[in-house]
Amino acid sequence: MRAREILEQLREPWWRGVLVGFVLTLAFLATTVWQLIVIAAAVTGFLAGRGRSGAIRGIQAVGPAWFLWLLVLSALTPVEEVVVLLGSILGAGWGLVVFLFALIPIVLGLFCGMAGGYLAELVAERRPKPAASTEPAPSAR
Amino acid sequence: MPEGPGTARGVRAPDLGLLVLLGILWGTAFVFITTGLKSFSPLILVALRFDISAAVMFGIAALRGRGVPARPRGRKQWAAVAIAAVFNVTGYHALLFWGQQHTSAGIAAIIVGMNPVLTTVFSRAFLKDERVGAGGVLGLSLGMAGIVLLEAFSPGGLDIHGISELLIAGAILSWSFGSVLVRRSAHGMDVFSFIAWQSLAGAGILHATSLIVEGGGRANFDALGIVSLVYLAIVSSALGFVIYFTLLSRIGPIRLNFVSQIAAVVAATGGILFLGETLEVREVGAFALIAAGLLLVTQPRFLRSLKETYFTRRPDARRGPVNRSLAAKEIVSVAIAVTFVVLLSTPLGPLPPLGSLLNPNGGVWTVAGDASYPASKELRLAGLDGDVTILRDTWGIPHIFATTNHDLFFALGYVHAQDRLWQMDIQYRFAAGRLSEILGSKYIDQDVFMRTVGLERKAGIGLAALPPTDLTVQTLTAYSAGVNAFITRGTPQDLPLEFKLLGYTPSRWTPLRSATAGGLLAFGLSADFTDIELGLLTDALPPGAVDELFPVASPVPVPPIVPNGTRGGGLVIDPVAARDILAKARGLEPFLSPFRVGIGSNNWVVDAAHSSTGRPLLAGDPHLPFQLPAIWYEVQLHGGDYDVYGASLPGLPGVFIGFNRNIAWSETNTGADVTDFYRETVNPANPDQYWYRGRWGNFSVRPERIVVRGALDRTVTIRESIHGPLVTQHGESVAMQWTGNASVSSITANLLWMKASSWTEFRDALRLWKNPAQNFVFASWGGSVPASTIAIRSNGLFPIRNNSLGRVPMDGSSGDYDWTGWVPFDQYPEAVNPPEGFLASANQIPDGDRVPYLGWQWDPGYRARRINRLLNATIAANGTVSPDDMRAFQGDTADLAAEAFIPYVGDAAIRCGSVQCASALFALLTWDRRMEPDRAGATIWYTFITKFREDTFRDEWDRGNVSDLPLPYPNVLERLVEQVPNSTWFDDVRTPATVERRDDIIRRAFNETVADLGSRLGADPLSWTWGRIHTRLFPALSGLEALQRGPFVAEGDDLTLDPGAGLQATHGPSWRMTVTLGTPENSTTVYPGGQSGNPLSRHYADQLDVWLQRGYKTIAYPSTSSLPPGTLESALILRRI
Repeated sequence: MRAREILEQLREPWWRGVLVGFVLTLAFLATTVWQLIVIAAAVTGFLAGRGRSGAIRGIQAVGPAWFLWLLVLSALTPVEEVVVLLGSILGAGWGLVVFLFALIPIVLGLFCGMAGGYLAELVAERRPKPAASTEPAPSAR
Repeated sequence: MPEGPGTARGVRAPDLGLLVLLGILWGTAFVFITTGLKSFSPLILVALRFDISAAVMFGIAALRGRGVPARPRGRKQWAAVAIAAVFNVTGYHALLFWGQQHTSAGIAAIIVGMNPVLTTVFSRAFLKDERVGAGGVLGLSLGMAGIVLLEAFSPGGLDIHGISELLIAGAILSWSFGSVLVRRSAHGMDVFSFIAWQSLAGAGILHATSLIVEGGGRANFDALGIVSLVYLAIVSSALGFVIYFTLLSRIGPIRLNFVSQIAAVVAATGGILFLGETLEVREVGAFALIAAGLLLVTQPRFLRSLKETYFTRRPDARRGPVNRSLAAKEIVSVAIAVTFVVLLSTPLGPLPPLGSLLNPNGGVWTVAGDASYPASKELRLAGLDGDVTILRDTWGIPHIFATTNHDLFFALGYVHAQDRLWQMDIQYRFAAGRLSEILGSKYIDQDVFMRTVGLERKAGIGLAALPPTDLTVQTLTAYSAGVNAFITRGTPQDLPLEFKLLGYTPSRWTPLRSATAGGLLAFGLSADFTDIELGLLTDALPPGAVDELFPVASPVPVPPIVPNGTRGGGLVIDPVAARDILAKARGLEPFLSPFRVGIGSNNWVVDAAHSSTGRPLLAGDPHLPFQLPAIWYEVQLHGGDYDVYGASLPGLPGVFIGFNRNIAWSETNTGADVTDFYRETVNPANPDQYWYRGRWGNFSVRPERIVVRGALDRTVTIRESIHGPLVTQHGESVAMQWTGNASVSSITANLLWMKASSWTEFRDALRLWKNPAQNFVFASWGGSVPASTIAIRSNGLFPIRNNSLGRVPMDGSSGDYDWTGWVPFDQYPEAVNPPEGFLASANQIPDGDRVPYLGWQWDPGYRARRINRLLNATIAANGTVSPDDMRAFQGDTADLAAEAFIPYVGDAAIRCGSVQCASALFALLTWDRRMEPDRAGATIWYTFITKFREDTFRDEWDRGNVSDLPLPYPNVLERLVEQVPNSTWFDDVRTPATVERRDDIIRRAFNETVADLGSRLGADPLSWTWGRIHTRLFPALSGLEALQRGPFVAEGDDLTLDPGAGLQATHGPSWRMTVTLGTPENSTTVYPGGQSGNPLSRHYADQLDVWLQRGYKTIAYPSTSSLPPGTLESALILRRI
């Protein structure tokens, strides 16, 4: 199966691309190098095929994975205590911590997904337009 | 950019050889830039380089008979030369050379490798006949990703190295921009002339810039500098450009661009081989990304073939320019994402990189995971002799059971690191003058001062003098191995909270670090600067005032060795110099405070005959500043030669205060005078010389380089005279002589006395205890009353001074006031088995009769008087003292100063004009002298004595402009009150028409007290309870308020056995211990903190709650590796690999 066909399969329905990005995000988080999730978001956006939808798909892929990781951790350790402690250290309460924590995957998912989506559009522009059909339309007989 | 001839046929071997040669020349240029910067400042170096290059090119032209290179003609050509001079010569080289001061040759070359990418893309974007294709966009993105990789993963974040790399990135932007503008100008000059004139013009601009920015620059024409300069100017520049333009015509600009990649490889290799640089994975990755970007940008055919290979061949594929709108959106979204990633990867002010901090896997969340000890765990570690069992009880206290001394201290190092790693690290950094490395330029002054004192250097000297088989060396080595075993068993994600917040990782622990930490203890408890203060007071106050108000002997009658008032030979140094020294000393306080003695400590011991248990009792409570995590770390060590329990210091291998099966010990600070200051006469013609004993001598001079996070490194020059390091050269040069860091021998002493079983052995161990001088209280059982011993001994290193007491700074040039030796060990104050049946110390004067001068800053004596009174009274009433009595005494809050002063308040005929005043006076006079939170009398007393002291002395202090210097101790005021009611000190110098006496000031102070308390606490004096204004605060060592505890309502004051100095006390009993000899498992301890440094751990401050109630916990002191039922929280087995 050619690469293009694989790409087309991953693009539709929409959740397949998000799932790819979700899995990639989890994998990259496992490396502890959080910056790698930009790749996951970009891939998700590329699979979305367009800039705007890439932005949304990027958030949908990266955000839940980011939160899921912490959710699992909270089952094992008192993460909520860390939130409160960090909030008091920052001098603004736990709400700021939650806000900053949520901001990271949203912004990265948004712009990296968008970048992936626009790149997909740029690549798509280089594809040939489908040739006009010379076959007569089936006529009612 | 049109491709040159030959590209269609490929590159011929000779041209390939030239290409490689050019890469070598330009790659090695980065190495020579690094070496050249050691001798020249960056701008002057590049200016001289182009001076020589221009001279060479003009010279070549002259030799060829062409005369000077063809001058630019017309505005277009002059503009092109100017643009090239500004952007390609000045902008590019200035930023490159400036940035390469703080980054490696390899990284600089990698970043410069981005140059052709940018140049090509800029060309295509801004020149009408060029187009930016998808390949250009992708190539640029890859190149930028390479830059981001370099910066985002840089260990130091956007520190000076990161900033330097960004400067180099700015350099290539300048080059690329300049190249595009020059091409657009279409100037038509021949290449040789163009380069010659741009070099000449650029050199001129660079010299001017150097003059403005560098003040002319630094130029050291040493061998290395000359070689570097000549290589850069002639080999790299002149020869390099000749080869470059030769190749340009042969292989074209596209293939020629790859010389930058060759140069990067050469530069990195040269940096590794010749400059000791290292290459990280991220740098290799960055290089790969930039090279890939270059490929995509410059090889559109390659890109097309790539697409055709992996996608359907499309002979009818659409051609034409890329949708610019889409490309712009792509670039913008990439740029925003990159910016966000960089921001999240960079420390922003005091905040650490938020991305790393909040990373779900490995961020701050792991702190929660480390908050509790696993119930049971086994670890296999290298470096052990055998198995070690570490049992933690329900207080988190580790009981370590090992078979050898090595394993015992290995395990101690492990648990110290497990619980207090950051505390160990930050305290070491302070001692070594390395705070700036992690905290930035704000702490440079502290670091300079600590480097001047030289704790780490002296510790290193001490260690180096010991053979590898020495007990201390072996112990420190084992201890360090244990610390490092903890550090290396985890990942950076497992580090304590403070490391994550500050964004750094701990480096390996070494014996030197332990010895340095020991030096900090000595410095904090013995180095003091009151000589400077006395010197300033001597100058400011009337003659004789200092001797009267700060006497050598205590006003409590103790015959002094040296008569009161003998100052002898001191002089007053320049106030500028004095103030500079005090400012530096005060600047150390936030970090030195854990080891500073605020108001002293208590210890006492009762012999078996007077003990209710029939065996000696010992009590000790050292008073130190509070901090969380706590100063002390409670531990049991059982194995090898040791079976000891007590308080250890994280960073040091030993139990400093505690007991073993046979003996117990505790310490209070002697407070001896072991620091003197000397004014040195520096040679005005040579700052490295000073006058000493009739001739010019040389200072010992050494440079100290201080690495500063986020700023340029700073190098300071430390000068030391025969007396010690110069601690100031403002106004005058003053050297500080201190008994110094003998931490290594003190560690040895500790290791020896921990395994002592008798007073003889313990005393012998004290021969090695030099610093800080301590009053050691001791008890041993021995199996029977006659075999038991109690003892007390003031032990340290005490200098013998001739001609002076050294209480003020002295002239260093004559040598007349030098230290001439040390007080002999056998002359130290000591008492053994006294007839009274007890011994006690509370920092009071050790003994004024039989020993030479030891000092003068003794505690006022109120606590000493109180404990003596309590012990005498208890023995008189009950015949014996019990462990409960010992604990009650530690919590006693009777203020004997109040007992002394208040009758005089009653006799002062205070005329109260209000009910409030009368009520307050009644409350004071009927108060039971206890500083308890529910006592109104305590509040009135404390406020009164504070104001009384101020009203007596503040006027003279203000007049002398020494308001920031300490007032005399309360016992001095007591003597005046009792014996000199008409003392001139009571006279207010601000009221020359009136002569005030004692009672006048008493009345004034009392009225001020009532007014003050009434305005703050309300109208009813009976509601002015001490607890309303008196609290204790337990600050976090990190300074973070979120990690502190308190304030809590508190008892005590400055002068009570249970102290609470000031209205918000931040120091007091840092450890309370009562030991029952013979049955040490019945001993009790408590300290205001907890075992763990993790603020989320339940052991962070669990003992604090008990301590605040003046409670104690019973300890577990098993002799086998098991704890009493219900007391085991965690078991850790260390097994050797």
